[in-house]
Amino acid sequence: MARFGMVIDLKKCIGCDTCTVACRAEHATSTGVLFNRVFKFEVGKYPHSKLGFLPITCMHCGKPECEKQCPTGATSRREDGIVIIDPEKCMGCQYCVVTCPYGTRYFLDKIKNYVKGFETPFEKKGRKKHKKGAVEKCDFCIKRVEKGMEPACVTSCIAEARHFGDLDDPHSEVSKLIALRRGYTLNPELGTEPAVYYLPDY
Amino acid sequence: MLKGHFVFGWKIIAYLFLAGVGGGAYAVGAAFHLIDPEAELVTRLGVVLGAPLVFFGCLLLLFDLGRPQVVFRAFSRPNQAWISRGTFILTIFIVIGAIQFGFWIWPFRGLTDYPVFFTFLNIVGGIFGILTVLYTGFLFDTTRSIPFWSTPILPLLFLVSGVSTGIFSIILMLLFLGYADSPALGILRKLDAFILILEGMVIFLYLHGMHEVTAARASVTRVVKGDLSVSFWAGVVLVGLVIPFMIEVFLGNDMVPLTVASLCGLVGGIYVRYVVVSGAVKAPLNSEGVFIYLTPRAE
Repeated sequence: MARFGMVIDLKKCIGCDTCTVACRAEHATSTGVLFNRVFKFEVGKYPHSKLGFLPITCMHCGKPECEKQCPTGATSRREDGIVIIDPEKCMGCQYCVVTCPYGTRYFLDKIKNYVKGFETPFEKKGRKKHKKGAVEKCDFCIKRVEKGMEPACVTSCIAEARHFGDLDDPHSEVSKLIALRRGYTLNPELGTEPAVYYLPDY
Repeated sequence: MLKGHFVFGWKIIAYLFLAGVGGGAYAVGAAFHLIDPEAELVTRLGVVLGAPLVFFGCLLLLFDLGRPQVVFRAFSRPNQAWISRGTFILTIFIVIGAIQFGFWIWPFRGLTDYPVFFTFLNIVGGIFGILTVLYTGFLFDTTRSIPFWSTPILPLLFLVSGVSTGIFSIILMLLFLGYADSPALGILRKLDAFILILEGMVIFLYLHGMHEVTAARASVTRVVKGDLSVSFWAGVVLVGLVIPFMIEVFLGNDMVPLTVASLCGLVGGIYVRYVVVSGAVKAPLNSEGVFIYLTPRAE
């Protein structure tokens, strides 16, 4: 069985937030809800400092903290490793938002339009799958993946910093990159076994 | 998200407090029943306060949900989720409390005819009262993304605080209903003074232990000398511990001081919850040694 994963090359990432925008375009998320974010920060001390970028999405952990704490069974991990939320089952207790170490979950308490008081046709169309009062997050663009496409953030990345593929297949692009460039995961000390790997920026 | 005012609002803090008071009061009443079946008054007050307060707290939880219409799904996963376990615990506790309330206090009075069943109900109810207080501690304990909560001292702190606020609420009810000369009052007062010492020690151990954990130090700094320091020193320590302890030890059974002490103790109980919940800071993202804070960092 495949285990889908993502590799983000921090050497190539320029922090342009195209992934963030592409993600919003794909999922028509409410204003303020970002399944994908890019953190920008300073590394080192002046004069030896530089800008650092860290794109964050749901890590689709092998041992998800959110799934462990979900009381309703709304959060589940598919056999292919993608962690999904069933908004019909979610009761909106928001404990997964608290317990996710990566801060990638959002509670949709109200649906906000981009333009106040006006819902664009795009928003209207995309909002059918969003349930008010439920928690939502990145699902690795499951619909696109099932059609054989890559997630929107991967396709749109202008620097080709993002790669998507099967972590279980040692010959896949992602596995090779992780092995070759010593890919690492965020907060390994928590033992969550994320499926999103980062390649160091040196 | 500023000031660490987390996704948890006042409803959750109020729930934590009410569950502590209710579960604690019931457990104290049940324990009194085992030690001295004659001290019916305390047990009765435990039943009167216990389940109704917890039930009210549960209503607050319900209003906090995004989609309360599917709340029944919270029973789905007691094998691993503490919220699910807690839902079971709260339900069983409220059912036991309702049975006891209905058959002992109002509208029926039949329960005392079956002393064995009554004692059994008291023991099981007492255990679930304790569990009501404890489970949120375990829930926080298993939240590894927040180092300030990931400690087994937290269930202990909630337990001690719950029992002490439970006793305060019983004392308050005794005074309010005009039983100022009840012998139980003296016992409760002394017991409570002892538990307040314990609570002080547990709070000290909690903060001391968390200060040793690098990731949780930011939270401890906020509590001891940061933005939560007023709530902590004035609310938790002075109002919640020192004033009630002084009054209970030095001023004895007098009505007015003891009322003040109980009210102070209850306010302190709210502040304990407030500080623990608001002091939470998520562990930073660790990108190979570069740390990125998800929430604004406490300075």
